[in-house]
Amino acid sequence: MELDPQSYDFVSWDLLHLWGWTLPGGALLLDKPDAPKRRPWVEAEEAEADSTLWNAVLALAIRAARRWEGSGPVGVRVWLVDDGYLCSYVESVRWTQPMRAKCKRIDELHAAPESTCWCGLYAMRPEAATSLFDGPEDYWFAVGIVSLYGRVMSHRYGWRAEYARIREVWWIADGPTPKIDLYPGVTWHRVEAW
Amino acid sequence: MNIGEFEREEVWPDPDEMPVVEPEPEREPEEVPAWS
Repeated sequence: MELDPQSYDFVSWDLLHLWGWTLPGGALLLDKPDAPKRRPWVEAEEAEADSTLWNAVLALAIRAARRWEGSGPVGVRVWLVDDGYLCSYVESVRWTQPMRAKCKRIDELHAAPESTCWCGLYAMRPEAATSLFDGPEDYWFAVGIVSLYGRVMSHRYGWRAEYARIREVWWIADGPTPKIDLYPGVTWHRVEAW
Repeated sequence: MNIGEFEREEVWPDPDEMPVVEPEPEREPEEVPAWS
C-alpha cells in the first residue's frame, strides 16, 4: 500500500525556538550544553542540527500527548524504524498494534512487567520526556505517543506496561518509511525539516 | 530510556474498550413560582 500519511509536520528552527519557551521546562529542549556528544565523528554543526530536529519532534509529541490524557497513562517513546516496523531500540523487538510485553529473562519466567524486573513496554511521562531523552542516536528514529494498560509499573519518570496501544507517530522523512498497514488506528506525522 | 525509580503497580483497562458514558439528556427547567 502506498504510504499516505495523515499529516505532515514541517519544523522550522524559528518556530522551534518559540516552542522552546512554551513547553514545560522552558527552554530546556534547546539548551543542553552538557549533553554528551554521542557521535563525536560528526561535525559539531551537523550534530547540533540533528539534536534540534530530534527535540522538535519530541516537542510535537509531548504537546499531542495532552490530547490523549484522561483514559489512563499516556506516554512518549522512541522507536527505530526497521524494515517498516517500529522496533524497540534496546531489544530490537518489533512492535505490533496493540503490543504486549514479554520478559526475555531466561533464568526466571514471569509475566511482564514485574516490579522486581526491568521488563515491560517503556514510555516516558510527557512532562519528563523533555529532559530525559538522550537523542540523537546513530540511527533513524520515530517518536510517538502510546496508551498504556493492563498491569502498569509506575516509575518516577515513566512507566513499564503490559500493553501499549500506539496513538500517534512522528517519523523523519529522510529515513526509512514505516509500514502503516501494520499499525491500525495510528495517526502518522511525516516530519520534513527545513 | 531512564524512567527513574519504581513507585507502585497499577492496573488500567484498555482505554479503547472502556464503556462510553452517554451524556445525560438535558432536562427542561422546572417551573418555579415567581414568588419563591
